[in-house]
Amino acid sequence: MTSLANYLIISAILFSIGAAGVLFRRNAIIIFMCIELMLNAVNLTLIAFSQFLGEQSGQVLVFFVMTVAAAEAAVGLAIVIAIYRNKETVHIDDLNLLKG
Amino acid sequence: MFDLIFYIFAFITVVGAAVTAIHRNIVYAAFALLFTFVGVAGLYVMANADFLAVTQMMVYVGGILILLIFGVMLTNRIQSANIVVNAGPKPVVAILSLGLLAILCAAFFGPSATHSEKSKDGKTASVSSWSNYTQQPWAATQWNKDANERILSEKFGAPSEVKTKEGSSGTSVEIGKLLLSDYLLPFEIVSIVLLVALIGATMIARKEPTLEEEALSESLS
Repeated sequence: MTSLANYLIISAILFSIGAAGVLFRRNAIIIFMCIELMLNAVNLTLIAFSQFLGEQSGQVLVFFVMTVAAAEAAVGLAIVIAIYRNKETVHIDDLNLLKG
Repeated sequence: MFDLIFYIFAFITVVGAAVTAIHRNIVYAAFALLFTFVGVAGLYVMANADFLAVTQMMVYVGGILILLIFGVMLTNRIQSANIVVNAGPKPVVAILSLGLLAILCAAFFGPSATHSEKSKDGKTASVSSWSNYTQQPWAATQWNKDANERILSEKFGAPSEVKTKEGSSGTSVEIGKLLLSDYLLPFEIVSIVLLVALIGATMIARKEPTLEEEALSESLS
Protein backbone atom coordinates (compact mmCIF):
# COMPACT_ATOMS: atom_id res chain seq x y z
CA MET A 1 0.00 0.00 0.00
CA THR A 2 1.63 3.20 -1.15
CA SER A 3 1.38 5.91 1.44
CA LEU A 4 2.91 9.20 2.44
CA ALA A 5 5.50 7.33 4.52
CA ASN A 6 6.98 5.65 1.42
CA TYR A 7 7.41 9.01 -0.27
CA LEU A 8 8.99 10.57 2.81
CA ILE A 9 11.48 7.71 3.17
CA ILE A 10 12.48 7.90 -0.49
CA SER A 11 12.96 11.64 -0.35
CA ALA A 12 15.00 11.34 2.87
CA ILE A 13 17.25 8.76 1.19
CA LEU A 14 17.57 10.94 -1.92
CA PHE A 15 18.47 13.99 0.16
CA SER A 16 21.10 12.08 2.14
CA ILE A 17 22.69 10.71 -1.03
CA GLY A 18 22.81 14.25 -2.43
CA ALA A 19 24.37 15.63 0.74
CA ALA A 20 26.91 12.78 0.81
CA GLY A 21 27.80 13.52 -2.80
CA VAL A 22 28.35 17.21 -2.08
CA LEU A 23 30.68 16.34 0.80
CA PHE A 24 32.42 13.46 -0.94
CA ARG A 25 33.11 14.61 -4.50
CA ARG A 26 35.75 17.14 -5.44
CA ASN A 27 34.56 18.04 -8.95
CA ALA A 28 32.43 21.19 -9.16
CA ILE A 29 30.07 19.78 -11.81
CA ILE A 30 29.33 16.63 -9.80
CA ILE A 31 28.62 18.84 -6.81
CA PHE A 32 26.06 20.61 -9.00
CA MET A 33 24.44 17.31 -9.87
CA CYS A 34 24.19 16.42 -6.19
CA ILE A 35 22.59 19.79 -5.40
CA GLU A 36 19.98 19.02 -8.06
CA LEU A 37 19.41 15.67 -6.33
CA MET A 38 18.71 17.43 -3.04
CA LEU A 39 16.31 19.89 -4.71
CA ASN A 40 14.49 16.93 -6.25
CA ALA A 41 14.18 15.29 -2.85
CA VAL A 42 12.59 18.43 -1.43
CA ASN A 43 10.21 18.64 -4.39
CA LEU A 44 9.19 15.03 -3.79
CA THR A 45 8.36 15.80 -0.17
CA LEU A 46 6.31 18.84 -1.16
CA ILE A 47 4.34 16.88 -3.74
CA ALA A 48 3.74 13.99 -1.34
CA PHE A 49 2.39 16.30 1.35
CA SER A 50 0.34 18.23 -1.21
CA GLN A 51 -1.29 14.97 -2.28
CA PHE A 52 -1.72 13.82 1.33
CA LEU A 53 -3.47 17.03 2.37
CA GLY A 54 -5.47 17.40 -0.83
CA GLU A 55 -4.12 20.89 -1.38
CA GLN A 56 -2.53 22.22 -4.59
CA SER A 57 -0.39 25.04 -3.16
CA GLY A 58 2.49 22.63 -2.53
CA GLN A 59 2.65 21.92 -6.24
CA VAL A 60 2.84 25.63 -7.02
CA LEU A 61 5.79 25.80 -4.62
CA VAL A 62 7.48 22.93 -6.50
CA PHE A 63 7.00 24.91 -9.70
CA PHE A 64 8.90 27.85 -8.16
CA VAL A 65 11.64 25.56 -6.83
CA MET A 66 12.13 24.14 -10.35
CA THR A 67 12.41 27.64 -11.80
CA VAL A 68 15.00 28.70 -9.27
CA ALA A 69 16.89 25.42 -9.81
CA ALA A 70 17.07 26.14 -13.53
CA ALA A 71 18.40 29.66 -12.89
CA GLU A 72 20.89 28.30 -10.36
CA ALA A 73 22.18 25.68 -12.79
CA ALA A 74 22.66 28.26 -15.55
CA VAL A 75 24.52 30.79 -13.41
CA GLY A 76 26.52 28.12 -11.57
CA LEU A 77 27.73 26.48 -14.76
CA ALA A 78 28.67 29.88 -16.14
CA ILE A 79 30.78 30.46 -13.01
CA VAL A 80 32.38 27.01 -13.35
CA ILE A 81 33.26 27.71 -16.99
CA ALA A 82 34.73 31.10 -16.08
CA ILE A 83 36.84 29.45 -13.35
CA TYR A 84 37.97 26.76 -15.77
CA ARG A 85 39.04 29.41 -18.26
CA ASN A 86 41.20 31.11 -15.62
CA LYS A 87 42.61 28.18 -13.68
CA GLU A 88 42.28 25.23 -16.09
CA THR A 89 40.64 23.11 -13.38
CA VAL A 90 37.29 22.52 -11.73
CA HIS A 91 38.77 20.48 -8.90
CA ILE A 92 37.61 22.40 -5.84
CA ASP A 93 40.72 21.59 -3.80
CA ASP A 94 42.76 23.59 -6.32
CA LEU A 95 40.58 26.66 -5.92
CA ASN A 96 42.10 28.00 -2.70
CA LEU A 97 42.70 31.67 -3.52
CA LEU A 98 40.82 32.81 -0.41
CA LYS A 99 42.65 30.42 1.87
CA GLY A 100 44.75 32.30 4.42
CA MET B 1 0.21 -3.41 -9.60
CA PHE B 2 0.25 0.21 -8.45
CA ASP B 3 2.66 -0.70 -5.66
CA LEU B 4 4.92 -2.65 -8.00
CA ILE B 5 5.25 0.35 -10.36
CA PHE B 6 5.88 2.60 -7.38
CA TYR B 7 8.71 0.40 -6.13
CA ILE B 8 10.23 0.17 -9.62
CA PHE B 9 10.32 3.97 -9.88
CA ALA B 10 11.67 4.27 -6.34
CA PHE B 11 14.42 1.75 -7.15
CA ILE B 12 15.38 3.60 -10.35
CA THR B 13 15.50 6.89 -8.45
CA VAL B 14 17.62 5.71 -5.55
CA VAL B 15 20.06 3.62 -7.61
CA GLY B 16 20.50 6.46 -10.11
CA ALA B 17 21.19 8.88 -7.28
CA ALA B 18 23.73 6.55 -5.69
CA VAL B 19 25.55 6.04 -9.01
CA THR B 20 25.57 9.82 -9.54
CA ALA B 21 27.13 10.37 -6.14
CA ILE B 22 29.83 7.70 -6.33
CA HIS B 23 30.72 6.91 -9.95
CA ARG B 24 34.20 7.99 -10.92
CA ASN B 25 33.36 8.92 -14.51
CA ILE B 26 31.50 12.24 -14.83
CA VAL B 27 29.69 11.23 -18.01
CA TYR B 28 28.34 8.08 -16.37
CA ALA B 29 27.29 10.15 -13.35
CA ALA B 30 25.35 12.51 -15.64
CA PHE B 31 23.73 9.52 -17.34
CA ALA B 32 22.69 8.08 -13.97
CA LEU B 33 21.23 11.47 -13.08
CA LEU B 34 18.94 11.07 -16.12
CA PHE B 35 17.49 7.90 -14.56
CA THR B 36 16.98 9.68 -11.25
CA PHE B 37 15.09 12.53 -12.89
CA VAL B 38 12.88 10.14 -14.87
CA GLY B 39 12.22 8.08 -11.73
CA VAL B 40 11.25 11.18 -9.78
CA ALA B 41 8.91 12.20 -12.61
CA GLY B 42 7.32 8.75 -12.34
CA LEU B 43 6.89 9.22 -8.60
CA TYR B 44 5.20 12.56 -9.30
CA VAL B 45 2.75 10.78 -11.58
CA MET B 46 2.01 8.24 -8.83
CA ALA B 47 1.22 11.19 -6.54
CA ASN B 48 -1.32 12.61 -9.02
CA ALA B 49 0.97 15.51 -9.98
CA ASP B 50 0.76 15.10 -13.74
CA PHE B 51 1.56 18.69 -14.67
CA LEU B 52 4.68 18.72 -12.52
CA ALA B 53 5.80 15.37 -13.92
CA VAL B 54 5.73 16.84 -17.43
CA THR B 55 7.49 19.99 -16.18
CA GLN B 56 10.12 17.81 -14.50
CA MET B 57 10.81 16.01 -17.76
CA MET B 58 11.04 19.25 -19.73
CA VAL B 59 13.02 21.35 -17.27
CA TYR B 60 15.33 18.78 -15.67
CA VAL B 61 15.83 16.15 -18.37
CA GLY B 62 15.54 18.52 -21.31
CA GLY B 63 17.25 21.54 -19.81
CA ILE B 64 19.36 21.18 -16.69
CA LEU B 65 20.85 17.80 -17.60
CA ILE B 66 21.85 19.00 -21.07
CA LEU B 67 23.38 22.09 -19.48
CA LEU B 68 25.35 19.90 -17.07
CA ILE B 69 26.64 17.73 -19.92
CA PHE B 70 27.67 20.88 -21.76
CA GLY B 71 29.52 21.87 -18.61
CA VAL B 72 31.31 18.52 -18.56
CA MET B 73 32.28 18.96 -22.21
CA LEU B 74 33.54 22.51 -21.74
CA THR B 75 35.55 21.89 -18.59
CA ASN B 76 37.27 18.60 -19.37
CA ARG B 77 39.65 17.76 -22.11
CA ILE B 78 37.90 14.77 -23.64
CA GLN B 79 40.80 13.92 -25.94
CA SER B 80 43.13 13.41 -23.00
CA ALA B 81 40.51 11.09 -21.40
CA ASN B 82 40.88 12.97 -18.15
CA ILE B 83 37.21 12.80 -17.20
CA VAL B 84 37.76 10.25 -14.47
CA VAL B 85 37.97 12.02 -11.16
CA ASN B 86 39.33 10.64 -7.94
CA ALA B 87 36.88 9.76 -5.23
CA GLY B 88 38.18 7.58 -2.48
CA PRO B 89 35.72 6.37 0.13
CA LYS B 90 35.68 8.50 3.23
CA PRO B 91 34.11 7.06 6.36
CA VAL B 92 33.40 10.49 7.84
CA VAL B 93 31.17 11.38 4.89
CA ALA B 94 29.30 8.07 5.20
CA ILE B 95 28.72 8.65 8.92
CA LEU B 96 27.58 12.24 8.34
CA SER B 97 25.11 11.33 5.60
CA LEU B 98 23.71 8.37 7.54
CA GLY B 99 23.29 10.71 10.51
CA LEU B 100 21.44 13.15 8.26
CA LEU B 101 19.18 10.32 7.08
CA ALA B 102 18.46 9.37 10.70
CA ILE B 103 17.68 12.99 11.59
CA LEU B 104 15.31 13.33 8.63
CA CYS B 105 13.50 10.10 9.47
CA ALA B 106 13.25 11.18 13.12
CA ALA B 107 11.83 14.52 12.05
CA PHE B 108 9.26 12.81 9.83
CA PHE B 109 8.28 9.86 12.01
CA GLY B 110 9.96 10.27 15.39
CA PRO B 111 8.30 10.54 18.80
CA SER B 112 8.08 14.33 18.61
CA ALA B 113 6.28 14.22 15.26
CA THR B 114 2.92 13.44 16.77
CA HIS B 115 -0.17 15.47 16.50
CA SER B 116 -3.22 15.55 18.70
CA GLU B 117 -6.41 14.35 17.13
CA LYS B 118 -9.85 14.98 18.47
CA SER B 119 -11.94 11.86 18.50
CA LYS B 120 -15.70 11.89 18.25
CA ASP B 121 -16.33 11.80 21.98
CA GLY B 122 -14.32 14.98 22.55
CA LYS B 123 -11.13 13.38 23.86
CA THR B 124 -7.85 14.44 22.34
CA ALA B 125 -5.43 11.64 21.61
CA SER B 126 -1.85 11.94 20.51
CA VAL B 127 -1.33 10.03 17.26
CA SER B 128 2.14 9.21 16.03
CA SER B 129 2.66 10.48 12.53
CA TRP B 130 3.98 7.11 11.35
CA SER B 131 0.62 5.42 11.84
CA ASN B 132 -1.11 8.52 10.53
CA TYR B 133 1.01 8.62 7.38
CA THR B 134 0.73 4.91 6.67
CA GLN B 135 -2.93 4.44 7.47
CA GLN B 136 -4.49 7.58 6.05
CA PRO B 137 -5.88 7.00 2.57
CA TRP B 138 -3.29 8.13 0.08
CA ALA B 139 -5.05 8.53 -3.24
CA ALA B 140 -7.34 11.51 -3.64
CA THR B 141 -10.22 10.75 -1.33
CA GLN B 142 -13.74 11.93 -1.79
CA TRP B 143 -13.17 14.38 1.05
CA ASN B 144 -10.23 15.92 -0.76
CA LYS B 145 -12.15 16.23 -3.99
CA ASP B 146 -15.09 17.84 -2.18
CA ALA B 147 -12.77 20.26 -0.37
CA ASN B 148 -11.07 21.23 -3.62
CA GLU B 149 -14.36 21.89 -5.32
CA ARG B 150 -15.59 23.90 -2.35
CA ILE B 151 -12.44 26.05 -2.27
CA LEU B 152 -12.58 26.59 -6.02
CA SER B 153 -16.23 27.53 -6.00
CA GLU B 154 -15.66 29.95 -3.11
CA LYS B 155 -12.90 31.64 -5.07
CA PHE B 156 -14.20 31.57 -8.60
CA GLY B 157 -17.95 31.30 -8.35
CA ALA B 158 -20.02 28.42 -9.57
CA PRO B 159 -18.00 25.28 -10.21
CA SER B 160 -19.64 24.61 -13.55
CA GLU B 161 -16.88 26.23 -15.60
CA VAL B 162 -13.99 24.71 -13.62
CA LYS B 163 -15.43 21.20 -13.75
CA THR B 164 -13.18 18.84 -15.59
CA LYS B 165 -14.07 15.47 -17.00
CA GLU B 166 -15.09 12.86 -14.49
CA GLY B 167 -12.17 10.67 -13.40
CA SER B 168 -9.49 12.59 -15.32
CA SER B 169 -9.26 15.83 -13.43
CA GLY B 170 -5.68 16.95 -13.88
CA THR B 171 -3.94 19.36 -11.57
CA SER B 172 -3.08 21.94 -14.22
CA VAL B 173 -6.42 23.73 -13.86
CA GLU B 174 -5.93 24.28 -10.13
CA ILE B 175 -2.24 25.14 -10.50
CA GLY B 176 -3.01 27.68 -13.19
CA LYS B 177 -5.69 29.32 -11.09
CA LEU B 178 -3.44 29.43 -8.02
CA LEU B 179 -0.52 30.85 -10.04
CA LEU B 180 -2.62 33.72 -11.34
CA SER B 181 -4.47 34.46 -8.09
CA ASP B 182 -2.72 33.72 -4.77
CA TYR B 183 0.77 33.35 -6.18
CA LEU B 184 0.74 36.09 -8.79
CA LEU B 185 3.52 38.18 -7.21
CA PRO B 186 5.97 35.25 -6.75
CA PHE B 187 5.16 34.19 -10.30
CA GLU B 188 6.18 37.58 -11.69
CA ILE B 189 9.26 37.76 -9.46
CA VAL B 190 10.37 34.33 -10.63
CA SER B 191 10.09 35.42 -14.25
CA ILE B 192 12.40 38.36 -13.45
CA VAL B 193 14.78 35.95 -11.70
CA LEU B 194 14.92 33.85 -14.87
CA LEU B 195 15.63 36.90 -17.02
CA VAL B 196 18.39 38.10 -14.68
CA ALA B 197 19.90 34.61 -14.55
CA LEU B 198 19.90 34.41 -18.35
CA ILE B 199 21.68 37.75 -18.74
CA GLY B 200 24.04 37.05 -15.84
CA ALA B 201 25.04 33.62 -17.11
CA THR B 202 25.79 35.05 -20.53
CA MET B 203 27.88 37.82 -19.01
CA ILE B 204 29.86 35.53 -16.71
CA ALA B 205 30.59 32.80 -19.26
CA ARG B 206 31.44 35.25 -22.05
CA LYS B 207 35.02 35.28 -23.24
CA GLU B 208 36.89 38.41 -22.14
CA PRO B 209 38.30 40.18 -25.21
CA THR B 210 42.09 40.38 -25.19
CA LEU B 211 43.90 43.70 -25.48
CA GLU B 212 44.65 43.28 -29.19
CA GLU B 213 41.03 42.42 -29.93
CA GLU B 214 39.86 45.51 -28.05
CA ALA B 215 42.27 47.71 -29.95
CA LEU B 216 41.14 46.12 -33.20
CA SER B 217 37.47 46.74 -32.49
CA GLU B 218 38.23 50.33 -31.47
CA SER B 219 40.18 51.02 -34.63
CA LEU B 220 37.37 49.52 -36.70
CA SER B 221 34.66 51.64 -35.08
